[in-house]
Amino acid sequence: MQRHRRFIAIGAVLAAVAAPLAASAATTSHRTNVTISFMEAMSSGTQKPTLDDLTQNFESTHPGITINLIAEPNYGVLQQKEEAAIAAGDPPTIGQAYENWAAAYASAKAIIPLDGYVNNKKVGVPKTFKSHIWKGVWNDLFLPDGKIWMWPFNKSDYVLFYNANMLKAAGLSVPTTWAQYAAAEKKVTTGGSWGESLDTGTLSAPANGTLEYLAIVKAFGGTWIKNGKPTLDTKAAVQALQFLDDLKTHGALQVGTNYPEQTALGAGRSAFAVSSIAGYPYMLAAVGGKFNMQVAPLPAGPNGGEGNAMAGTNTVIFTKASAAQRAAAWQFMKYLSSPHATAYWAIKTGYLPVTKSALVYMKKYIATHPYQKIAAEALQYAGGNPPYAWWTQAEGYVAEAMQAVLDNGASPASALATAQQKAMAAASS
Amino acid sequence: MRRVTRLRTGLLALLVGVVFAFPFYWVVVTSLNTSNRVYQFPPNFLPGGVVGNYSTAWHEATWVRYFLNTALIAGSTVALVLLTSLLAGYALGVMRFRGREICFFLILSILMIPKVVLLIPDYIVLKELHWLNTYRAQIIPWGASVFGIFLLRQFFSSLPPELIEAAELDGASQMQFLRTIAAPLARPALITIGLYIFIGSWNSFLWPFIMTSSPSVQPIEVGLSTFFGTNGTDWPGLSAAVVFTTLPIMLVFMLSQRRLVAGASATTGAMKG
Amino acid sequence: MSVNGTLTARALGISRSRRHSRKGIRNGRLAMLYLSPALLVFLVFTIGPAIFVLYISFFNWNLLNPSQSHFVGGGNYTALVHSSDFWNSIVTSVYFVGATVGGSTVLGLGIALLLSRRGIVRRIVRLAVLTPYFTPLVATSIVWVWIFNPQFGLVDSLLRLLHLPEVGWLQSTTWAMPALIVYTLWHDLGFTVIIFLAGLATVSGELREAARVDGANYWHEVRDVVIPQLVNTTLFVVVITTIDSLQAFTQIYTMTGGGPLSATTTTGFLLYQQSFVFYKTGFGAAIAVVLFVVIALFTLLQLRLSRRAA
Repeated sequence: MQRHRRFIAIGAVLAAVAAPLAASAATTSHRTNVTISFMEAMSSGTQKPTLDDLTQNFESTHPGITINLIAEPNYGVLQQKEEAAIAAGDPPTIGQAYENWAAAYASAKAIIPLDGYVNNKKVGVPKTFKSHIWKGVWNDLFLPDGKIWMWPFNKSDYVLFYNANMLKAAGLSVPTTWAQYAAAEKKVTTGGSWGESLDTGTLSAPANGTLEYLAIVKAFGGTWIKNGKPTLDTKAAVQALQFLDDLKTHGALQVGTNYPEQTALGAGRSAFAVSSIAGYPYMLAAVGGKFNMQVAPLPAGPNGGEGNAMAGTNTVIFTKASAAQRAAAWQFMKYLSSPHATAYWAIKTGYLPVTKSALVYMKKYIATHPYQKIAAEALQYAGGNPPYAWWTQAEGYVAEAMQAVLDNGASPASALATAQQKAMAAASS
Repeated sequence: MRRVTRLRTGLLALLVGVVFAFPFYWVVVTSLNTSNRVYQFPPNFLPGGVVGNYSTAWHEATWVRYFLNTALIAGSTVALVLLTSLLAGYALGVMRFRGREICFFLILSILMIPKVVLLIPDYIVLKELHWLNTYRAQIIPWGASVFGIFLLRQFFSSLPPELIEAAELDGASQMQFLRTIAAPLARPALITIGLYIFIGSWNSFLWPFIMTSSPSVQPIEVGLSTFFGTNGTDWPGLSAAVVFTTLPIMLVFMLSQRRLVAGASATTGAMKG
Repeated sequence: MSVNGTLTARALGISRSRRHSRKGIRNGRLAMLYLSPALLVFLVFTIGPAIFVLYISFFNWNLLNPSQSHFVGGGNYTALVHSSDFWNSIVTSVYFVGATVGGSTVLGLGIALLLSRRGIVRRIVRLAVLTPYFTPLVATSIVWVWIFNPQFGLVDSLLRLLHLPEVGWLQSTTWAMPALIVYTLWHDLGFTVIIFLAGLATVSGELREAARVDGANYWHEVRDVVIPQLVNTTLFVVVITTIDSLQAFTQIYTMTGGGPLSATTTTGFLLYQQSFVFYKTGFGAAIAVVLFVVIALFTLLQLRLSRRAA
C-alpha cells in the first residue's frame, strides 16, 4: 500500500520525462514482451525502495519491458554472484560493475561494448547529453581499448563531513587544504575527542579509508597508475601515507572497522569524517540532531591540487542477452542516467546525479542540501577505479600498506614499496 | 565447606550467564534506543523506550515470508538429513559388506573438502538441474550430512547383535527392523543431529545469496542484510531485527531444552561404541 | 532374467548373512541401496564438484571464460609451495582451529560442570549460554564488530573501567585473532555445553558419591572420576568443533576480512580471496586440493595412532 502511494508521488515528479521516453520506447521496443534482469547491490536503507520506484516507473512508461531486480547485500557478494552466473553461462541481462570488474568481464568476452547503442542515431544519446555527464564519470565509461563498455548509475565521491559546533568551539574555520586540515585535526585532539576515524580496509575489501588515502595521493600530485602499470610508491604516495601516519601518531586519527567515521562523528567525538557522500543518510542518523553537521569539499593539495576518488558503479550488458534484451536493457540504462531519474535517485539515496542536467530538477533539494552540488561538481576531477582487472589486487595491497603503517608501525616508504612490488606482479601475471 | 563451594560455584555460574547474555542484552538496548543515543560516549547501557525501531525494521522487509521460508528450508533439510543419515548410518553400522571401510572413509573425507571452493561448481550443477532460485537449491545439496551418518553409524554399531539376530529370526526385513526398532532407539541421536543441522541451515549466508534471487524463496539472512548494506549500518534497525528473528527459536528451545539435553546425553553415550 | 537375478541375489544374500550372522548381516546390494540417497547427494554436490576443482587446479583457469584457460601442469602447486601467503594461512588456521577447539572443550566442560546442578538460577544461566547459538551468525558477528570498537565498544569500556589500556581489537595483528576466537566461542559454546551436560548426566553418581566419601575435594572428584568417564563425549566435541572451525568463514568475512594484514587469513579464507576476489581460480583450486590432502593425512595419522593405542 505504502509503496503504491510512493509510486504515485514519483509518478507526478517524473511526469514530464515520462512522455518523451514513452514515445521513444514505442518506436524501439514495442510488439514483443521482453524481460530483463538487473543484478545489483542496492539492498539497504533507502536504496532498495528508490530503485523499486524507478523500475516501476520505467515499466509503466515502457510497456512490454519487465525488469527483474536481483538484489545482493553488498558488492562482495554481488561480484561473486556475477562470476558464478557468468561461469555457469547464465548471467543476468545487466549488472552493476566497477571499472576493474568490467575489465575482467570484457577480456573474457562476458560483456558487450556499448558504443553501438550510445552513438546510435535512433536510440543513442545526443551530443549535449554526453557533454553534460560529469567529465570524471564520462571518462570512467571506457576501457583501455577506447570503447564504451559501461554506463553510469550510482556515483558518489568523497566529501568532508564536520562537526560545526566543535570547530566553532576551537575557533577553527573549515580547512581548504590538507595542511590546514592536519593542523585543525591536531587542535581538536584532546582527551576525549580527536580529528577523524577511518577504516583502512583489508586486502580483499578496501574501505572508505583506502579511498581517502588515494584521494590525498592525487591531491599531492601523485598517480595511482601510469601507462597501464601501478604506481603505488611514488613520492606523493609516500608523503600522503606519512601525512596520515603523523595524524595517527598525534592521536588525531583513529583506526576502526565498519564505518568508524560515522560512529566517531555521530558520537560527537571526532571533528571530521572523510566519507562517501552516499553515506550521508547514515551520517545524519548517527548525528541525530545532537550538533550541527556540515559538509565541505575535500581539502586541496599543496599546489592547489584537487584530488578525489569516485565511488559507486556503472552498469554493463552481459553477452548472453538476446538482441531484444540488449535493446531493452539499453533503454533502461539510459533511463537510469536520464536527468529526472538520476535526480530522483540522488535526492532519495544521497548518491550523486551523473549529469549536470539533473541539477535543475534538484534546486529545492540543493537549497537544503548544498553539499550535494559541491560533491556532484567534484565528479569532474574524481578518479574512478583504474579499468584493469588487476586493480582489485592493487587496491587491496594499498589497504594492506595502510594497515602496516597505521596499525603496525611500518614505514610508509617500505610498506608502499612492498605494495608496489606485489601490484606489479599482479599486473604482469 | 561444601556450602561455601556451592555458593561460590553458584556465583561463578551467574557470572558466566552475565558474560554470555550481555552482548545480547546490548542488542536489546540498542534496539530500544534512537540512533543518536546509540552513538554515545560513554556507552549507554539502559534501554530507551523507542519501540519505533521495531515497527520500522518490521516494515523494512517481508519478515513473515522470510521466516516461513527459513523454517521450511531448515525443517526440510533436517528431515532429509535424518532420512539419509538413518539409512546410510544403518548400512555402515549394522550391515556387513565388502568395501564398507572404504565407503566410510570416503564419506569421512568429504568433511575435509573446503566448502567455499565448491560454491561455483555447485552453482553450475544447480543451473544444469534448473534448480537455481528454488527451495530445492537450498535443501537438497545439504540433504546428506557426514556428521549425521557418522553419529548414527556409531550408534547402530553399538546395538547388541542379539537384537538384530532376534529380529532376523522373527523374519523381519532390514527395513522393518530399521523402522520399528533401530530408528526409535536412535531418537536421541536424531534430536542432536536435527539441532545441529537446523542451526547450520539457519546460519547459511553466502549460499542463499548466490543460489537464489527472489525474496519469495530466500531465508531470513537476506532480510537482515537490509540493515548492513553499502555505505553504512543501521544499528538500531539491525538490533531490532536480530531480536525478533532470534526470539522464536529461543522460545522453541526453551520448550524443548530438556529433550535436547536428554537427546545429546543418549548420543554421547553411544559414542562409547 | 531379472527376476531370476534378484532371486539368486536374495538367495546369496541370505546364505551369506547366515554364514556371517554372528558378525552381522552381509548384504552388499541392500547396503548400497541404503547408502545411495546420501551418496547421491554427495556425488552430485560435493564429490563431483571436488573432482572438477582438482581438474582446474592444473590450469590457469579463467572462470569467466573457460575457453581462455590454459594447462599449466603443476604450475599452481609450485607457486603454492613458494607462496608465503599460503604457509602463513596454514599457521593462522592452526591457531584458529587449535584455540576454538581447545577453548570450546575446556570452557564447554567447565561451564557444563557449573550448570549441571539443578536450580532456577542455573536454568536461566543455561538459557543465557545457549541463546547466542540461535542468533544469526552474520548479524551477531556485525554486532561484535561494534562490541570490539576501540572507542565505543563494550570491551574497551570495561578495560577503561579497570584502568587498563584500550586495545584496537580488530585493527591489531596481535588481537584480531583472539577477538575472532572470542566471538566464535561466544556463538558456538552453547552447543558444546549441551553435549557436555548430556555427558555429565551419564556419569555415575555413585562413583562421585564414593569419591566424596573418600574425602576428595571437588577438583579431585572432577579430575579423577568425572573426566575419565567423559572421554567419548570429549572426543565427540573435539571432532565436531574441528569440523566447524575448519570451515569457519562468515565471521571472518564480516569481522576482519582476513586482516589486519593477513593476521586472520585462514587457509579457507585465502581460498575465497584468491578464487573469488582476485580471479585466481586455478591457484585457489590448488589451495583447496592441498588443504584436503593435508587434513586427510592428518586424520589418517590420527586414526592409525588411536588404533595402535587401542
